[in-house]
Amino acid sequence: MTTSNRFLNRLFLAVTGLIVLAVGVFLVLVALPGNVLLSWTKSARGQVATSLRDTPLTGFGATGGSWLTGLLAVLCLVVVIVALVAIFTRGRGRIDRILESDDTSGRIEISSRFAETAIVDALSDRRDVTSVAVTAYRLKKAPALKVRLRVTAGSSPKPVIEAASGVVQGLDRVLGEDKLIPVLLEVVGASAVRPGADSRVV
Amino acid sequence: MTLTTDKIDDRDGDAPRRLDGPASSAAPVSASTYRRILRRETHSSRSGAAVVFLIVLLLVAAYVGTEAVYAALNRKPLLFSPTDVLSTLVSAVSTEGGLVLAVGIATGVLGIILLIIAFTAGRRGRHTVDDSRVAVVVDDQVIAASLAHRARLAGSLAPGQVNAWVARSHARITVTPASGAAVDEESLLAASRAELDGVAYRPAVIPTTRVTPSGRLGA
Repeated sequence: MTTSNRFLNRLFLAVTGLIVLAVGVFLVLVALPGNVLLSWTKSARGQVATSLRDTPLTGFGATGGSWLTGLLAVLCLVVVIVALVAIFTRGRGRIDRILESDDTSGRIEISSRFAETAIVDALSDRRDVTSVAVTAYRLKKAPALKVRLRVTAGSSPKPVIEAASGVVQGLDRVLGEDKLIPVLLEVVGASAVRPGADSRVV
Repeated sequence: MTLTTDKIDDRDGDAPRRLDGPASSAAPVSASTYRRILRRETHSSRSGAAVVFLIVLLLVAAYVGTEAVYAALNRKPLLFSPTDVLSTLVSAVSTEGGLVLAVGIATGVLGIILLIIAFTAGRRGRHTVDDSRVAVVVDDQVIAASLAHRARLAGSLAPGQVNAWVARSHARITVTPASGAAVDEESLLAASRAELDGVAYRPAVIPTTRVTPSGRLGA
């Protein structure tokens, strides 16, 4: 959640976009009649064939192929590994402790389930809230909470926000007010099954 | 366990954000932390697009790598050897010039789309609300539903008669009146304004109303 690097996402998309665009422009220019790029491509083709011939695999792995293609295979393997790592390191950042404190008398750890249960219990009785979900995640090396409130269709978010803010302040009093936990309140709409549906009951 | 849920005082809609709530006297959550959280919540991370193209890149690299191993071992290619790319291109240009042109244009368009995804802000349909203690984001869908509800109550209309649509800085409420009945547009607008001002979204949302020219029977 908080570990995916947004700048790297955009950088990757921009670099990929530039390369793809360059390939497209190259193909268009080559295909246009009377272009110098075609003769350049022909000479490049010759050079590729020459260099493939001049770089045979030697030693016990001698197979008649070029080590340049072996290098290409290794490069592709590296790209595959990097892509796999980039895909599977996404969406991390969830934690299960919201408070860790070393005291003279010992160490205190408070599970994030505590805050989750407290906030869900305090808010789920409201008639304008259909569901409450609380998750704890790491932000700037400190714990933070995300409270997702699904409100009934048509209800104003203001009373819900005020109630949730009050609940969080109550939690602050329990957990200690010297270092407040950042809390994000996310107010989302009615059911995903009936998006935007208006309530039948006024 | 019971938590106190006492409400804090109502503040003016345009009051600056106070990060030290009435319950806390020391060490509020820093404004920069909340700015960062809210920016992350109101803008797309572009993770979806990045993952899609990472998977494409992965598949292409896996295939090219496999073919490269075949070429290095001097075996027959599975489908197409990477060493034949340029010669295939040269022969394709002379025999199927139009096809190469079309593929080039399609590739170029894909590249431009990627660059657009990379450099646009990618705002999600969300507004923020100032609060003394928590960072708040509200889905535009919630704002639209609450506006439609308020406008419907103000105009004594049936559920299907009011439609609300919310963009970044304005909202449009479309009313379909019952045939022959007039709609008090001013009161609808006033009710929506009251609703929006009551919550004080950021960026501010300006409502407009529109009454459809043709009414509906039995509404």
